Amino acid sequence: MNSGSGSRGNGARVIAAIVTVALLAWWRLTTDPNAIDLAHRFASPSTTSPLGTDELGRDVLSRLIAGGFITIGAASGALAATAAIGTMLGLFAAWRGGTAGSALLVTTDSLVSVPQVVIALIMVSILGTNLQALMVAVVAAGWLPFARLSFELASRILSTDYAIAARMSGASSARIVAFTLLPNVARPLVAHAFLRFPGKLLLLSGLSFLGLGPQPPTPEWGAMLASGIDELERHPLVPLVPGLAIVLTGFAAAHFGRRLEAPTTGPASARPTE
Amino acid sequence: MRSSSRQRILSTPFILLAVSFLAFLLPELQGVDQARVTLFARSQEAEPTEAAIAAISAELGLDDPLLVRYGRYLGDIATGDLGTSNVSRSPVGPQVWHATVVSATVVALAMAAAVLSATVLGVVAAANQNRWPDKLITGASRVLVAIPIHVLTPVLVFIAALRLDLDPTSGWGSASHLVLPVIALAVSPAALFSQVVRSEMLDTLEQPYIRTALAKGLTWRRVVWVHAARVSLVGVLTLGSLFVAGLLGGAVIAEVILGVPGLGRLLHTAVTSSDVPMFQGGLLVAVASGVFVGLLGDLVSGLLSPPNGDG
Repeated sequence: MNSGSGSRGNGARVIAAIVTVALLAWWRLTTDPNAIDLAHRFASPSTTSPLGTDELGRDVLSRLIAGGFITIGAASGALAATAAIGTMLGLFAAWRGGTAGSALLVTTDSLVSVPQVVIALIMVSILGTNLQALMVAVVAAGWLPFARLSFELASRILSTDYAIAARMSGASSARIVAFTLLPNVARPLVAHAFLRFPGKLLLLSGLSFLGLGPQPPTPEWGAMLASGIDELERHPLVPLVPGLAIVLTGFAAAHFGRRLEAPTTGPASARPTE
Repeated sequence: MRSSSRQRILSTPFILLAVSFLAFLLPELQGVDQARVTLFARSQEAEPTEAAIAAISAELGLDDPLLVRYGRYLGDIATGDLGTSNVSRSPVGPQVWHATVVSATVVALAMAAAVLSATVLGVVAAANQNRWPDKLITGASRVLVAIPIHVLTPVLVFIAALRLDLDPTSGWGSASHLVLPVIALAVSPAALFSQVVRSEMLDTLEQPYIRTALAKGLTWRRVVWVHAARVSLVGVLTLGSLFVAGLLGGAVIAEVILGVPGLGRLLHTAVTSSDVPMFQGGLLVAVASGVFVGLLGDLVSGLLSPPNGDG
């Protein structure tokens, strides 16, 4: 029904386009994103400031780009740490099996009904309101699905004939993990990571929106949205630019993740009959 | 009962105990000097005397061993005493209780709205597969599911204030205050559920018993809405129970923006104003209700899903 490779190409192209635009804009970026110019508050778009200026006369485009590096960078960093920690826990539990396996299952089963925002709030209350603390909070809130998925994938692979054969032929644990387990769990986990990216982006920018992240004047998208939101009526560009940036970035990553995931889940698990 | 449900029930006390220990430890982890904070909250004394600190430490029992203090904390919780707010200087318990009722109302209504609208939209989309209603609903749901609540809520406020004359757009107290929080929370799950209902409906409509019903001479409309939609409703209810945690989380952001005095806003205010007892109390209730709702959803979906081999 859907031509996998073509659509996957589209997703990759969207991401490539975003990166190119960001880099080009960064290169052309001459204004300081935090430079205050009270004489030109809420300026309309012009050649000097293509997206206008905000409530302190700061260039919206400069802040959008600088904020993109902060927001996407922090979300990606948090996602990478989340995936790494969750995957290690899941693989370890699957490898050891028995008590370790059921302990992981019981913990994830129960913790999954605790809202991520609440877990993140706990971390923020301990670590304070800054970007690093916010990233740690996002990691603490999000390792569950990765642990669960990698546990299930690894358990399935370890019970296949070729994994049993590898073990019986005397391969070392390290060798089985490196050559049997990792290559087989890598692709679905990477796809899962792309699918989870919007969640990280939303949690991060959402908490930052509430003032629980990097403090002003840091141009984080969620914080930009929060500070511009009162002007939605008179100066819609100021809040709409970061808002749309959050939505579109999340959308592109989710789209890319779905395409990556499609070939593995389609025939294997979704429709066993027919 | 499924073994996973039994494991969950058995593990619930341990999870709650772990959370209570975490809540108890929070002031230590935050590096808060409870004697000074309490003294300041009571008397606005920024630089108290050593004697005053010693007195309050003795009163609060801060010098006792950690486990003794934890035991006392658990005892207080068991008797319903969640401490006294550092900011308002009134008991935390009743405030947390009121906030929980508010949040529960909003979340329950939002979930009901999401399930109902998703069922209707998903069934309409599936019954008109690949025609314009399907394309419209599927397209809209793909976009709406991706819109974060902190983008959606201000836009809703904007629309409500400008176009609908819905006043007031924030606050609490009358039924009209419910409209925006419920919509804000319901949109994303409704969009996601409608996609699930649609694909389940498409599967169901292929089933032999649907062909039989049609062959018997029942109208297409009746078959779709009575026979097939019922199956999808069970599926979406199960999915919905898994989503309550996410909804509670989204409620934090929506409540803060819309000024709804729920549990989410209580937690947010407690974090930003360093009101440790308030945060501990809110945290306990938030986690406990999340765990219990999850457990309930697990049991309900266990009851709803047909037993193996019988279908």
